[in-house]
Amino acid sequence: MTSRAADWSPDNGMFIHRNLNQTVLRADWEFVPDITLTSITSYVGFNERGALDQDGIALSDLDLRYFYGDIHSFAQEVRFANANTGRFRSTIGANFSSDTVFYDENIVYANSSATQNYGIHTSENYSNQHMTNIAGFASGEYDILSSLTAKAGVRYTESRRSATICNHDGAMA
Amino acid sequence: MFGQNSTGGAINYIARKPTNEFSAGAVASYGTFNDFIEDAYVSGPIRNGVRVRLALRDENSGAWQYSYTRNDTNGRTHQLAGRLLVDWDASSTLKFQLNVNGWQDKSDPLALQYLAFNQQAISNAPEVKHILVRR
Repeated sequence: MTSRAADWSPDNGMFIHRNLNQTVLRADWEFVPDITLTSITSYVGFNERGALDQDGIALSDLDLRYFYGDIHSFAQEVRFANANTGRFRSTIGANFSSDTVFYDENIVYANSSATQNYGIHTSENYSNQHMTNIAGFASGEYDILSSLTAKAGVRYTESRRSATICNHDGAMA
Repeated sequence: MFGQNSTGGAINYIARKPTNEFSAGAVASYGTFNDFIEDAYVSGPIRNGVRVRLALRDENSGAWQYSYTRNDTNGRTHQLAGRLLVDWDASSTLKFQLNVNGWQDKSDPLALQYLAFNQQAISNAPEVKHILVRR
């Protein structure tokens, strides 16, 4: 069999629609000489839906009748940095991000032993996740000699996660 | 490896910046399975202190996979992507960079190839043994 040979259930749609959009705005403002305030704001949106045969055969052994999901991701960073001309250079800033991720899939297996032995021919699962990160950071470097530089950096991140995940009976095919 | 929510690390992908002088270009290619790719960009200043770059990419291809039990094909590609960059030097001390981009993918998903019957799978299709394989 060649690598081009494959198989899938005739009633499986075998399609994917995915799209992503992203907007990022960066501003650099040297509000006093040699000190720059930088702001980076970002939003990413993603969504997908489709159907996919996962068993590689025309029978319904393990097929995704449908799946869909989306991601919303927002991030904001603000930081101050001095110009890198002197012996001492430093950065101090904060970062916030918030993400939500949702996914749902319906699995069918009407020709499988699970259906023949137990009468179960479909199931579904979804997950709904929220992630929030808040961080502060600072770093500095100092030229002790022309060929010797001391560097130090510190960052604290607080991450909050929550998720609702469920595996349940599928809708009747 | 960096980034809180990156699973396998991150790739720092830096797009070409808008240019101070006008420039434009396009590339088209054709390959096996009627694979057409078109790539085009335009870049330059639109007014004092404002530079933009617009890039578009499009790919369409025919099917490369076929069913080994019936007359059916899979594996078409339909992708479209675009990116707009705006660099604005509002003053000698204030600069803005805007990046708006997006893509859509309406390709066929990858179809799998049957390899072997797994007796010990949690659930499997006993009729798989009777499938006629077209080579």
